[in-house]
Amino acid sequence: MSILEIRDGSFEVLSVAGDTYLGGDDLDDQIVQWLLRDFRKRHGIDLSGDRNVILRLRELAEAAKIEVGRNRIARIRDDVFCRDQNGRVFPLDATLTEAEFNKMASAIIQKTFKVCDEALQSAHLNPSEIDVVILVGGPTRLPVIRQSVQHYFGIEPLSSVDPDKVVSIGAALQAYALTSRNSVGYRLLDVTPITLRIGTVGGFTEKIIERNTPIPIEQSKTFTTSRDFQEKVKLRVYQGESNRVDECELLGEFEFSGFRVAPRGEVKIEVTFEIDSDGIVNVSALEKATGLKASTTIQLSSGLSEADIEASRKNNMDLPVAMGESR
Amino acid sequence: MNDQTPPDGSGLDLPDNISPEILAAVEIKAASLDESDYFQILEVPTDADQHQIKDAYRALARDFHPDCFRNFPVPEFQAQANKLFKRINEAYFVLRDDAKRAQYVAGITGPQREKKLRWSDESEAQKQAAKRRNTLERMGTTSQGRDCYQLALRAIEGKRWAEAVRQIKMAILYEPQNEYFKEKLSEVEAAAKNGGNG
Repeated sequence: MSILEIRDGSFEVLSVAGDTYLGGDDLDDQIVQWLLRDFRKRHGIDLSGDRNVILRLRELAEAAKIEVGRNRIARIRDDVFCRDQNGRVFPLDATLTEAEFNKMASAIIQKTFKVCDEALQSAHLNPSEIDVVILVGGPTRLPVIRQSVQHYFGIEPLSSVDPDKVVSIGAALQAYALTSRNSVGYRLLDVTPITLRIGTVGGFTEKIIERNTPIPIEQSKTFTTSRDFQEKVKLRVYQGESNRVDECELLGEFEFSGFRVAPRGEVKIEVTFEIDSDGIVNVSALEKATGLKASTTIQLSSGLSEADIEASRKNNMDLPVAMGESR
Repeated sequence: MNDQTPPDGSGLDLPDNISPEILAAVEIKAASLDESDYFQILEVPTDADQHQIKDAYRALARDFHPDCFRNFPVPEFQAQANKLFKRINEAYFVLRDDAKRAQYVAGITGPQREKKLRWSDESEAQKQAAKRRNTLERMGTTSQGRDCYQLALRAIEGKRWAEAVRQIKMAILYEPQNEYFKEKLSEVEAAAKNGGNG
């Protein structure tokens, strides 16, 4: 979830929060589990270990989810669903009501609102201070989700934008802003979504750039060596909200050596993290006394790899924007 | 286009959304960054409230966000524009948070102003150490100080004010910097005046 303040053409991101484990697939999974339980009750057979069955159930679950959203009820039927060794055929026949589906969805929906709480807290806002809610992604068409949003924020989510197109429309607007030779009248002011840290002794990390800091940005902290006559330091870059290494993700590391060898605590090393407006992280280490420096670059990946982007460009060569031009 | 194009915008075919005035402004602002404090960088008075800070930031972002200059890919200029906006973001990040702002103001109004123009978060290890020091000071950092203080506390319990005052004064002799002892002394002296005996 992202909270933005839109004013005078400036689209300022106030905070970003997310749970990568939430999504439409998770609702489908809930239905699959429910179907497996139902089948086991009727026929005494546990199909949860059969991959083909699970794949088939996922297809049926996704269709049922959409149907329940439209008609408030969905009949899931497959007369020749599976066969045992003796050739006996077992049908699948289950009816998913809106009530049953809403029960399944509620646990997931609760998690979604936990994310909202987090984002609002970071932005120092109450749900009632939000003026517009834009829903993103097909699953948000489900009535239960729209109702929960209305209940949490006290306003109805916007219905004039297609939730499946919202992200691409935004990306297109930003692409135009970046390539246009005319004044566009709007500007995105983005933030970094996860705290960047450096590994220190004892399995801990030290925060260098807090999440929700506007980018581009640069922050430094000074550290010292932890052992007498240490000859090199290993700089490990992490992302995460915990100060414990085992709760963070390692993004990259590099070694810094050649500095003055001295008792611990006497060598001062300034570590600088820089995030540029494309989300690239540069980490450098500097021994202040001698000016000795080392650095490395880390790509914060968020979806497409360079190869994917290049492939996408090649496939769309007829569009001027792919050529780096604009009108 | 020839390679010797000057970075100041003169003689270039600039797109409509980049003006020579803005290009010049970037260079001027970038040059003075290291001597400026965050208030100067955001162009706000030192008593600016949150609304003024936000408005100032928004106005600067409109003209100086690096995305404004994508059609002007001169490396030296890009480096300056980036350096400038990173510092603007840094200033905004600190001044919009009351706690960070207070810490920052204390730094730049103190004797080491030039060193404190860039704010740096106290490391988490330092914060823990400060907390530990705090706790220790309350009971005394020297064994003699601790002993006298303990005797003083016992005297306070028994309302033996004169003895308590004597013991705390002794503790302060051993730890003249201990603010908690001094506070306790004023408390006890006040209690002695009101309480009466001893």
